Amino acid sequence: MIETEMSVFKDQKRRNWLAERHVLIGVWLLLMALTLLSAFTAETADPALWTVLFISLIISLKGQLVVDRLMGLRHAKPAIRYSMLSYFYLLPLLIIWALIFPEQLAWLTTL
Amino acid sequence: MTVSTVALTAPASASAQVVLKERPTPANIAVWILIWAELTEFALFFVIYLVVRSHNPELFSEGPARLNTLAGVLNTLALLTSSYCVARAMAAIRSGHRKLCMKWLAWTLVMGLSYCAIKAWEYQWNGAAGIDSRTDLFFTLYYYLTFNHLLHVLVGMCTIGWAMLRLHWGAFDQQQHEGLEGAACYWHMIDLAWIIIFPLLYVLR
Repeated sequence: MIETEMSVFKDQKRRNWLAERHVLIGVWLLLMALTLLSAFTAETADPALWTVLFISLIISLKGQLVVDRLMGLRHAKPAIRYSMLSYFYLLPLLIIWALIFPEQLAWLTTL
Repeated sequence: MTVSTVALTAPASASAQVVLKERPTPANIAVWILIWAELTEFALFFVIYLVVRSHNPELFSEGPARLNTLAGVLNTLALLTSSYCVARAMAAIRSGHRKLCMKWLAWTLVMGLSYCAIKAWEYQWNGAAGIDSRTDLFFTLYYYLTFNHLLHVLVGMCTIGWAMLRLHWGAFDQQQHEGLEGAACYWHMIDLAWIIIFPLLYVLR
């Protein structure tokens, strides 16, 4: 009986390992595609509001993919996971604000 | 059933009910404090960059166009691939494949070396184009950010190299690999910083 349980357990572990491998390959390909897309945007699009929003969205997406999937924090302690994710919520927002309203930031930081 | 949790229930006996939580939070609190300290340092650089940019909009609009975008893209691809390799190494050690783990860690180092080689080419390319850290404020910040990041990559490579040695000596296995998790998380942190540096310096104009 114990041998059967162990065999089922090993089978389950192998299936999990294969599933994880597929997820990692998918995430890696998605990260590559997002990088090429942002580089293509840089080379072809004129600086505009939509490019700032689009690039900031890509930053946020890439950060979340690395934190959750590659670092493996998707099911980690919420304090650790959300503290890492907050980096990729707050900084893109800061970038959007600084690039769309540079006069405000310049005024706030003028001595 | 999620990838990270295995719940195996055998009906035969109560003692056979096994619930394994395979993926608790990786590494330990000291590693997370270090990672947060490093990310805070980079965040301060980003804030400084954005503040200086707001005072010099034209300079910072022209700066990225003078950079070698191809080098930036290749660096990003190398770092993202290295993060993928580390994740595969962690998946391998968790499933008890030590040799496979070593192979993926070696690929991580190869990607790290590629990053360094591309960065060296980029700096040389800049030099040939008459660009250095004193060209203007944009390039001062560009060199400050990218060189600082390069130093972190070198430290990360030493950490991964040390983890490989310990793996070779048998210090890590399927059950005990916290040190390896620490090295992996540090490497991912380097990648996370670059995910913001790349668009900030090369893409947003």
